[in-house]
Amino acid sequence: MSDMSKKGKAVITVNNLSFSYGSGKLISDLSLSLMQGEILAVLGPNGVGKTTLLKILAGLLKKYSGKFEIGKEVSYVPQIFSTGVNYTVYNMVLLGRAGHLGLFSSPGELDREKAYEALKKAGIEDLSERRFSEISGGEKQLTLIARALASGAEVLLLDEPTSDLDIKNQERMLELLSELSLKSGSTIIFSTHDPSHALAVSDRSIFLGKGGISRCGATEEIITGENIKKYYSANVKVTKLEIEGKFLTYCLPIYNIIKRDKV
Amino acid sequence: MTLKKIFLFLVPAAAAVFLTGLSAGRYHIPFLRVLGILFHPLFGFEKNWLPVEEAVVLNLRLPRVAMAAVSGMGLSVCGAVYQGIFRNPLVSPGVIGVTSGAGFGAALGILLFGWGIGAQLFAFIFGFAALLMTLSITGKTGGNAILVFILAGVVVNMFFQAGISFLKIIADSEDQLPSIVYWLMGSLSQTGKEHFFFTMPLIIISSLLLIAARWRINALSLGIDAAKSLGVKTGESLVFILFFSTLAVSAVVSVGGIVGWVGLIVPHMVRMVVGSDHEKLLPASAVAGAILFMLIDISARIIAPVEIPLGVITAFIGTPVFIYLLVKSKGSWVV
Amino acid sequence: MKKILLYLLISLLFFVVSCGKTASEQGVSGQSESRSFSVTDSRGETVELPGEIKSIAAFPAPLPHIIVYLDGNAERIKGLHPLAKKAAEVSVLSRIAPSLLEAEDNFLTGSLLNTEELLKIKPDVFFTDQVLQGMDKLKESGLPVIYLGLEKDRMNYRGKEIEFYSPEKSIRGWVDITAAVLGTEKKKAAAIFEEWDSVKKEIAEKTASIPDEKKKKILIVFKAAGNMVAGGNSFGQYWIASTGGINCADEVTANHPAMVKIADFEQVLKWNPDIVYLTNFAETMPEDIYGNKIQGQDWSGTSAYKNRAVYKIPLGNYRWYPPSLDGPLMLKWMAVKNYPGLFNWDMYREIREYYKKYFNYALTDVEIHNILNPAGSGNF
Repeated sequence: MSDMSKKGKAVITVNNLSFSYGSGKLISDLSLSLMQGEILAVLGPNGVGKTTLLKILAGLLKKYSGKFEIGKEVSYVPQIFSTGVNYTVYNMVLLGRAGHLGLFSSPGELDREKAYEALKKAGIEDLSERRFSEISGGEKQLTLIARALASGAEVLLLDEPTSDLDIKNQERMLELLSELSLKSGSTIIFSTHDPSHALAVSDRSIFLGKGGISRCGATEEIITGENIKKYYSANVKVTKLEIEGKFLTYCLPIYNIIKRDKV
Repeated sequence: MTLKKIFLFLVPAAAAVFLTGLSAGRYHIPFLRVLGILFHPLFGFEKNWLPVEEAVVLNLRLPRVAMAAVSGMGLSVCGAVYQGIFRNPLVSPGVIGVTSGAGFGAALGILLFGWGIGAQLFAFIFGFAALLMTLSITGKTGGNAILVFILAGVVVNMFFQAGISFLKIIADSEDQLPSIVYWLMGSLSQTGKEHFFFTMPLIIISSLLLIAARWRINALSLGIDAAKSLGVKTGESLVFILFFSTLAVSAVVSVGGIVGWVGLIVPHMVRMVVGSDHEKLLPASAVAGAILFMLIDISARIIAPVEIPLGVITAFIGTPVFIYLLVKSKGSWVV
Repeated sequence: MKKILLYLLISLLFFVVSCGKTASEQGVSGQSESRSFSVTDSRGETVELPGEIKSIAAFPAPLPHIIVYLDGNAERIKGLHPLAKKAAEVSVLSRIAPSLLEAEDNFLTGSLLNTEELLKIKPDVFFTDQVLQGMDKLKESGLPVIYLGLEKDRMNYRGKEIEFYSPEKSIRGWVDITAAVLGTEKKKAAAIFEEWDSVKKEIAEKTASIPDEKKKKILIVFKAAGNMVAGGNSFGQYWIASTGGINCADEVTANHPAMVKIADFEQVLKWNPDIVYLTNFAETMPEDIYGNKIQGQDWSGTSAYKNRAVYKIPLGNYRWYPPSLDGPLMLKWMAVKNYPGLFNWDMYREIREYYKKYFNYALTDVEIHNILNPAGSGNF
């Protein structure tokens, strides 16, 4: 499935992208580029335009200035998903094929195969006959990603895929993201509130801040205590820990809480 | 439940109701004679019936029962499609103002030219005028397009309702008003053989096209943004859907007046059984809507010698049935 | 609390009803001396009127011909409903009283009353036959409003006593009230009804011997499109029963004086009328029935179709189906159509003499032809 020959070619290039809501600037002169198979994490406090950036790249918002280029097969997975309809997980994933089918066509054998492959990739083939409304938040997220995969997207734009998930599901999601980038060569941009998640899977990261400021680069360089202090006004320690023989980088919050026995 | 199983039940039911519709009425004709009259052209039975009986079955009942079936189909399909693409269970074919627009047009037509082609033509013109109004209001705003669209529809709806009220006031109370008032409440008494050639095919073709696009409607029911991000040509799809649903709804209104309820309720009833998947929902709603509308019209014809408007029957009989189903299922199919 | 409210409501209702009853005495009370006088209208309301009535504005379409009958002209009519004016324009009434065409008609649109336009005409009295928006304001501004309502009557019909909207009783009431307002002599106002009574009596006597099963089955079609027919409590019941017929649609009734909408056209085939009359409230002509041109209907199975016994009701000073002063002529015309063997009135002669006697107008043959062969509906 993976096409390593594409690696090394920029799939996403953004030049001087700006976006404003009314009078306020949300995104200002943002530039970045992403290679095939790279993962970019978008960080920043609430309301700085993480979702907006993803929506612009997904082609859902039009009134921006600047330029960007992005591969043809892009799929956007929104953060909050509520639906008036109640499909099975399999049908939900199958709908990922909608872009390939004409107005009067229903999915054929090929589409069904691709949907099933996507279900397998996301590791949720057991859920296929369950109703979308009956499954857990994490499973919903996985279903939506499987749908994006079924669409054959090379670029996945995921809005906070790990929010609302418990620790186990967060782990599963992060594993899925790295697997997709490594095995399928998917290029992924995801937004998150947890710098540790960025450190765990992303090659590159971007901080968005108030007033349109931003900073982009390799994850290790970007996610530092200093930057987090600057963008979040939060105290953290970014540290490498050796756990079970593997070195992993974590971002640990430093809480200033007075303990009961110290009072 | 598979579509096949559903149809195995619905299609014979529809056929039975259709034959009941042809046999029921004020003018008593034995059932076997009705069958004879109906299938005479195919099998050439010996004519053991009166010409007047043949006229009743073929010229009066057949067009009316067929129109009821076709109208029920059109309204239910449009209702199901709208509930899907607007992702709102409260939506009915009237939501985008087309029903009121067509109703206003037909009322104006009745006022200007009396009953006939003029009134029907006006129903179409104003049905589409309502759609264009709703679309242009939506086009002028950004933001949540679907919500704005529904709101715009509500406003356009109110506008044409006011227009209908105004027409009622200026209509001559002896001559035109009764026609307009009765017709607005829904009636198929105007249905004739003429409708086989234009109105009915129009509704059937529009409904079939919408049903053909059922999988696309599944995609759209995820939300416009989600569908767009899956690569669906959402603009093109919406134009297609709105055009043919407006055509179907205006055609229904142009003959039968404004019959609420069917387009709102039938998709829900069907959804309780087959689920939200439009692959099943749309074809099943089409047949179920046809059955229900035929039953409603049969009731209208036999309950009393005086005409009871269809809108009244749907509300009086349909609402309790729907409430019962809603309470029993605790609304589980809605979300 | 709720009970108390209910009691209050009920006692209020009784109060209103009893007030209404005491005032229902109809007719003229004081006159001449104080110059101002009062008239009780169809609703039972006593309306105070100023001395002499010089200017009249009217909503009801039949009123112009009543006034022309009572006054001999339409000089006092200053305002009219646009449709009444149009109807007068194309009917013989505008020839009898040409000044009708000078009346203002811009104060009414449908049943929408423009109070200011009405007051501009400076009428001394306003007649209406329906409750209009803004009518109360008129009263406040001092313009007396006379309400002319329809009256019900009872008759013995096929061994049962039934109640129906009577065109005769209604027009009698209107003439009485209008005469009181205009100050017409009672005897003059009543003249036309003496003839009415005698015509009715003559027809009743001649048809009395026909057994019910031999009586003609008649259907009056109010509006063919929409299946509106004259039911058992409608004006049609009066015309049919008074001319010795059986009303096909006597089993259906509605809360409407002129028609009932039947569920289905096949009901008409079941009734199978011998004779069909078409009112002037719709465009439908006998040719439309013979040609089966009405959507959703097929008349070919009826006796009336086979015998070509479908007739358009004439239109004289006013439509003949609703209450009108041409009532005696309507009775004669229908009697001739129903039982040509029993009645041989020459309608040309009858109409000519009637109009000469009561409207002082000599009709030409063409005018009479137009009365008997009206085109389409009364609203043009």
